[in-house]
Amino acid sequence: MTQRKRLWKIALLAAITAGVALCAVSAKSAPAQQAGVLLSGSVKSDTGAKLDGVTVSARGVGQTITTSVFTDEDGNYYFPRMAEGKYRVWAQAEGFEAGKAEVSLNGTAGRQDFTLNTIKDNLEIVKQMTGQEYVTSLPEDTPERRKMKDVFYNTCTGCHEPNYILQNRFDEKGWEAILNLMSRVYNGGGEYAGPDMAPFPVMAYYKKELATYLSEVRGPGPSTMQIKLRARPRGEAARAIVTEYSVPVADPDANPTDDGFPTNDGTFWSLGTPSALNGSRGLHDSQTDRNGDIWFTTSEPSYTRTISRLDTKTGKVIDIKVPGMNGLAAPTHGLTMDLNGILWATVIGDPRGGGGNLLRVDPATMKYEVIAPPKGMVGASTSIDVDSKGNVWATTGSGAFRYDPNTHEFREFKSPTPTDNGPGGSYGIAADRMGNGWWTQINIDRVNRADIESGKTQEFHEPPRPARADGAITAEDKKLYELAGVELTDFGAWWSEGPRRMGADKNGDIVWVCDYWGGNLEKYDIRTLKSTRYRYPTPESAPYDASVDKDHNVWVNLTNGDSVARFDPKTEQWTEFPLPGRGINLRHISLDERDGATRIVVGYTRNSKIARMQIRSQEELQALKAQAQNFSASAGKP
Amino acid sequence: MIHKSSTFLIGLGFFLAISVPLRAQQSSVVPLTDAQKDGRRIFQQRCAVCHTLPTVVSKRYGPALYKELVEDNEDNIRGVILEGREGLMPGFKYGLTRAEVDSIVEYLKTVNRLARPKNNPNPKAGTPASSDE
Repeated sequence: MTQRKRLWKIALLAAITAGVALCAVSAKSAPAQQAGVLLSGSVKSDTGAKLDGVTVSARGVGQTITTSVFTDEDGNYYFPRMAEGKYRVWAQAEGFEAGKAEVSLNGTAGRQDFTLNTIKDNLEIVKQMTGQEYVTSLPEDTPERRKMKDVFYNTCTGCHEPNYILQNRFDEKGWEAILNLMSRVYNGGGEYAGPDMAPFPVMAYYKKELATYLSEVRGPGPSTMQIKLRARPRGEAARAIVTEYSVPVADPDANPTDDGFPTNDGTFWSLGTPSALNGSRGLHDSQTDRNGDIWFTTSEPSYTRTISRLDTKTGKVIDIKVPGMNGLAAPTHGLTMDLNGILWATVIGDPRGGGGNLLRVDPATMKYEVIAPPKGMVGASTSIDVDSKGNVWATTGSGAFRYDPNTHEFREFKSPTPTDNGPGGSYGIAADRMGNGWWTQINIDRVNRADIESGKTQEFHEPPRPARADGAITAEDKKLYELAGVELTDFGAWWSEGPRRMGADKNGDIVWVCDYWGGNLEKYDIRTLKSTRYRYPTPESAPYDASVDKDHNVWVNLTNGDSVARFDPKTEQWTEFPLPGRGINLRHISLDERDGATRIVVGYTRNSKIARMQIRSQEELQALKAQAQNFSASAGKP
Repeated sequence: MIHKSSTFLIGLGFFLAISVPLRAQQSSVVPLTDAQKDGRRIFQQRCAVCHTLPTVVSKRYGPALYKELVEDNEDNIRGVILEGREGLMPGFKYGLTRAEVDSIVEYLKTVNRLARPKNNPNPKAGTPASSDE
């Protein structure tokens, strides 16, 4: 190094040191001032009653990021400090019209109060309901009605949220027309097969009975439903803060919108449950990378989107297209991250378009690699996980495989109850901390385990749900399911538990399985192999997937509840956290625990959004409350 | 240089010319009224499952709907929406208000005839279940 260069280096170091010191002095001497504007307010009803558990949301005008909080027991809400600017703010509670306002935030604090008008017409209230609330409200006072409720639930809600269906009111012939269509739609993909396809036998067999039942609950006359709304969030659930990121539709050419986002994304409940069509559907699994950005898979065909990165600071989405068939992007489904921060996804769809392969993505470089299983091995399907040694486990049409990224070796495991890429195909997967793989077969109520040492697999057959329709189930009914079983691809009989997706406690000895139709969380001890069943208080909420946090709590996405729930294994207590949207169809849940805090991340499969939820501490909320009270006092407000 | 610029402009013009019709079921360029926007939202929520392509490669169940089918045929379209068609389509008279049906009709009067997205891999996709198209 020359003398001149050395002098420059010393001068630079001195300048940096002086700058840092000056900043430190300034920070110490300046009065404590927090960045951003505090928005708070109160919500009451038109009768003057304080309303707790009200969802209050704010989105900057022209922005794609929405923040939501909930009112406390005094009917007050407190947003975290937000950037100055114009915001749209709205407050929603079931049974009330939404309150809407536009607020300009500047200075240190702002206030917006809401008075919500009560809705008196039940026909308007039902538009706001979740799928769980609809199903809980469906009549089941006779064996025949219980039978049709179960047939509806297990036949129609494997794909649809019940509120998407039941927001309609048709007469008997109208519901029959719907069943005519749906009996020729491929389950899972949702594609119409054409008039020549033989209808699915279960739907064809129950068409008249089911149409009659549906026309009684959602038809021309007074409904036989007894509306049962769930309680609004309180306590810890009301301390949640939810950040929602709107994701543009994948193919705007094919999907007319004003701004590239769905025309109804479930934001305003009274608009009813949005459709999954016109580009709204597709966003599937989501995973936070080490920088805090969220990646997501897309399971529907598109021309642009295989896997995407959402910048959580700006809301901007960047798509990666992996070439599939005929100019399409290869669709993906399962997504996870390994110990080195590398993302792994399953490619689905036609094998000619890459279906069955693994996709490896390095978030740092955004470079990807497609890895195909050896010829003759059944390809990857819906779900993926990584074990403690970094091996990648994926479900397949006939069981599961394990891929070692170091040796590039694939190892295949078959489910003991043989299947052929149809009913009984694997759905969820989890790798336990002993390095063994577990997977479910949703249609035939099996949970399987591969012992990595012996290479053997064993299955656990979940007992059927207790009969709810005694006296109404005939020998013909049972025979139908026996005969039709091989044709069922995405729905089960009314006794099906439906083990769907699952999660392993990576720091414990438990694998947790969600029974979708049965409404249970099933605990499997990986050492004793004993199982214990925990029923969700409202089983119609449809627990779908599980993810275990650092404290061994189990986080579950409730598909029909538009919510997530936490199960504490120590106390065996559930806490439900409603999310701000309707018809959001959660199909996956992941956790972001990079800095010690636990954030829950879910994709709104049918609404093209991603949400991240965190629970605020009481102290944090108390501090905001004190700041808001100071502002109100200085502004002369109560 | 001039030659290259001309080629670029011609190419750009050609690209725009073919791009516009490819915007499948895109409404006219004129911004939609509030009623038409309501109609589009309700159409996408209640009608699109049969009358549009569920995905870019799917078959459609019912006929595509566009302005040439609806203009001067509004009463007939309203009647089908309200009463349905036996075995094929439910009537919406119990679940939609008259104003909502009107907004759907007004929206449909802005919809250009369907053009499939480019590179459609399924030439048979879009085949209607009924013979109305």
